[in-house]
Amino acid sequence: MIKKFYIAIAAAIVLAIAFPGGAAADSEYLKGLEGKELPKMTVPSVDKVVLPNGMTCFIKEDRSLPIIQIQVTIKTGSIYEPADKLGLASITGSAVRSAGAGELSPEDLDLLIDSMGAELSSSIGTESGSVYLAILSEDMEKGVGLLSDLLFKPRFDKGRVAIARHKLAESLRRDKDEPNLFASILFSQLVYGKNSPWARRPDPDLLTSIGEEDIKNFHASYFVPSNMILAAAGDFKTRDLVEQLKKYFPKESGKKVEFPNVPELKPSFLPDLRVVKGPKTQTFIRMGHLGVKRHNPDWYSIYLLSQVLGSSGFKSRLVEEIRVKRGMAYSVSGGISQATDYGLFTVKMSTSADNAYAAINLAKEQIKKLSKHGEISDEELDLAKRSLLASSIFELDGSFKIVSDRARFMFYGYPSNYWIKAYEGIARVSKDDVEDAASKYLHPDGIKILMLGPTEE
Amino acid sequence: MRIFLRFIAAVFIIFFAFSAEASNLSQRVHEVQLKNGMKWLIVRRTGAPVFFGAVILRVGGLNETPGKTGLAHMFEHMAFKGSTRLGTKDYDQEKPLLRMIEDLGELREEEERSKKPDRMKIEQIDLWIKNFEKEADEYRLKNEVWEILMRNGANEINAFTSKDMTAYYASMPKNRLELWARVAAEMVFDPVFREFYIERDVVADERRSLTENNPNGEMAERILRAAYKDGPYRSSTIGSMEDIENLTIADAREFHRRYYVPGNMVGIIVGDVSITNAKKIIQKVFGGYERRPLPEAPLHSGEWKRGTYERFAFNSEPSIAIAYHKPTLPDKDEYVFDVITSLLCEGRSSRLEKKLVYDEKLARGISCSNGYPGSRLDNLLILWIEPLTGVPSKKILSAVEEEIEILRTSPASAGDLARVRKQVLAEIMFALDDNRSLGMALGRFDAVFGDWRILADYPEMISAVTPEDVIKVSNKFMTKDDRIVVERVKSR
Repeated sequence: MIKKFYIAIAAAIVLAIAFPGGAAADSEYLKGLEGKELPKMTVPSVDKVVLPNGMTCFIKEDRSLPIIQIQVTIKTGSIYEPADKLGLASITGSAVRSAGAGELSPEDLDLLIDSMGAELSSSIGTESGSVYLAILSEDMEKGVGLLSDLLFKPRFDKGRVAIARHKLAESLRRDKDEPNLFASILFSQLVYGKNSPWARRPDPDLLTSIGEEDIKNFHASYFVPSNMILAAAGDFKTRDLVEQLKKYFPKESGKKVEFPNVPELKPSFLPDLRVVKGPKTQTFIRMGHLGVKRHNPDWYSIYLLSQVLGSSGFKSRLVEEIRVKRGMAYSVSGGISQATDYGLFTVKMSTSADNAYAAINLAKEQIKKLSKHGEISDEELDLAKRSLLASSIFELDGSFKIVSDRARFMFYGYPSNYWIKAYEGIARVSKDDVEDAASKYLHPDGIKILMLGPTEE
Repeated sequence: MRIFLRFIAAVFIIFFAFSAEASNLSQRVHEVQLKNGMKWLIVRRTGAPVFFGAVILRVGGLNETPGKTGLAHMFEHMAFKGSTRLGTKDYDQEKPLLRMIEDLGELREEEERSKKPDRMKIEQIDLWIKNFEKEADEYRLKNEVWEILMRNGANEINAFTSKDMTAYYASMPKNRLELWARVAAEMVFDPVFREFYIERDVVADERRSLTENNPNGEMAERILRAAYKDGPYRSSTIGSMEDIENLTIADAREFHRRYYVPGNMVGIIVGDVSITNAKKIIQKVFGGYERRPLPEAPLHSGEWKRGTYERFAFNSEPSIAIAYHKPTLPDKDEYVFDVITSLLCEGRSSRLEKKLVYDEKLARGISCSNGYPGSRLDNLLILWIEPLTGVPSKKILSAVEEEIEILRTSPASAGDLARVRKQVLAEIMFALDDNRSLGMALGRFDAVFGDWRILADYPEMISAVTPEDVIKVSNKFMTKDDRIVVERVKSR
């Protein structure tokens, strides 16, 4: 394993902690080492350029290595699929890359990309699509040309479209093989409803109704310059990149995109339990209810609430109670997410099957306790706030990270200095705010539970 | 097509230009050798005011003895539980309680291993352990290691164990270098085995999620058993459930005494730090630990099985793995295997992906792993294929065999090898773009292959691989008779 030297090979490596990365003891040993003021976050400079075709570009020169990364985000997604063509967005997303482009047949395109040691990929998710290019800067112009061909001149070769279709069918069938993924899919269907645009899944046996014409039309409806945001960082002169973008990308902004109406969710909080038979000895548990919409004014309080409950590792309540104190689960976490039309409040756990109900009860207890006023200690809020604020500089530790953040801010309607806004927002939150958020956004009597494990209902 | 032809001609020029960039790495790495044998590698990378730090140990699953699989990983979990100085309010008060728990654990283990274990007695012991843990909790600051790093801005704190090595790491704001170094030193040099038996349950649950409830994890373990009769590479890093459930504090203590010695460690710092200051801190924090004898490590992965064919049923979609025994560094054939892996599986134009996924439409995907389950000892090249529904495994096997036959008989073209070289270079360039990936690459090469410089020379070694090398090596190691096949079929 010399190659792939910086990528962990899945099963060969065992991590200590299965969740993402949460008061002070005055240890003599570390005295004086915590006093120094932490480096401050300053808004990085990014060139914002709007091309004549209407595409907004966030660009950052970084000459430290001979590499370039470019990502184009497109407003499209599976929420816009007609109900009888589920899977259309996903197939289109993969066929953009795999089914030839411009002058190149699919095979020639594959060969060209590999010969440059480049990575070029495309996909369409629930509410956005993207095409991503990583390439050595020597090949920049070829890369920009290819990127344009993929975005605007995909060939949708018939044979490759068929392959994209059966690859999707196969991967849908294989969802069940990953209990963590499958439990999350089932849980989101339990909360949003099986037919909700935010949770529905294509039937692997019905994808054949999706033909090249459908794909071409879907692509043509959304892949227009004015509906795209570009983020680029690396070893180039901004001026040169912009010139190449002007040269290879379409001159016209394209027709105005009309988005199909997506029915709005009507939030309700009714308890439910679904038990699904699956894995042999473990039960994969998901419990919770709807979360919040993006731009919720209480978001920072909600975010800190999540940290306290189960999103900040060892010091959060769920992890302490279920893993640290009782050793009941390796993997346990929880928190509230935001999304365009409601995110989710989810507690995720996997436990040995005989511990499942005990773990659920412990989690319920913690949710209930938090949702009642006045239970948060100064220490736990202080730790949650401090660790978020102190690590905020990591938001800006890479040029491509910075420009893709800017693109995301624009895509979801956040201000261009959202890093700072979020920092200040977190800093302002008080204990009362978090307690208010807990009673407002946690509904202990409306918890839906999904259990994927050895036993059936 | 025109673009394409022009491009191939240009590859060679570009290659040499970048080669300079990669070898530049040698000048950027500052090596510090402490008197006690511990080595440090420091690289200054300006940019964000942060650094990545790691302490990597040349110890992993391969150092475990039979009956104690999973111990290296169990130990890694314990390192987060603090030291005599961290994680405790009053270690002097806590210590006798820990001693009791340790003794009880041994007693329990003895009972478990006796001919007729007395369940009542074991339950009683468990209860005592639980009570002593509760009492000890009075003196503890739970997860203080984690908390200190978090409140000082750690971006990622984690650790991992593989067959070859164990790594503890974090990314921190740059003016927390000494703080991180001190916490890391406590973790590796002075661990206190708190809450051992609770954590053992956590690890048991981790095993459940990696194997019996995870078709690919289960398959990975079966590949190892199909490939080795015995030896350190026959078992997975997580270890067997039976072994995990019988690990004791004394096991962990002995493991620590033997393997966690300065000469068996390499430290890494990559980021926006001053080299002089970093050297000073390292000397101050790590220089005081005494030199201790280096542990012995096994020299062989185990006795090879050849030509094994195994089939097992699982409640999941089917999968096929084909494995070949192969050498590792310093054997130069390792570079040839990296080239072979690239030719077969890197990118959509690679031979196996093109054939199986696109031309013959037999599989959803293929991935190849050169160096499973580790690279310190001779190991396996694994081709792992997910067939499309209804495609018989025979068809997959013969399609793969056709491609391997081409490898054995027809020399790779200049274009093929040029592509591999460029892919390797691009991969290295992108790895250099990140403190963590650069740090882990240096640390891994040093811990696994004994010298980080192998990384700097790597592109050159890959370019030196000839079409004849590929033919020779594939004929020697990738024969149909010797290949190991593990097939997973759907049970439901």
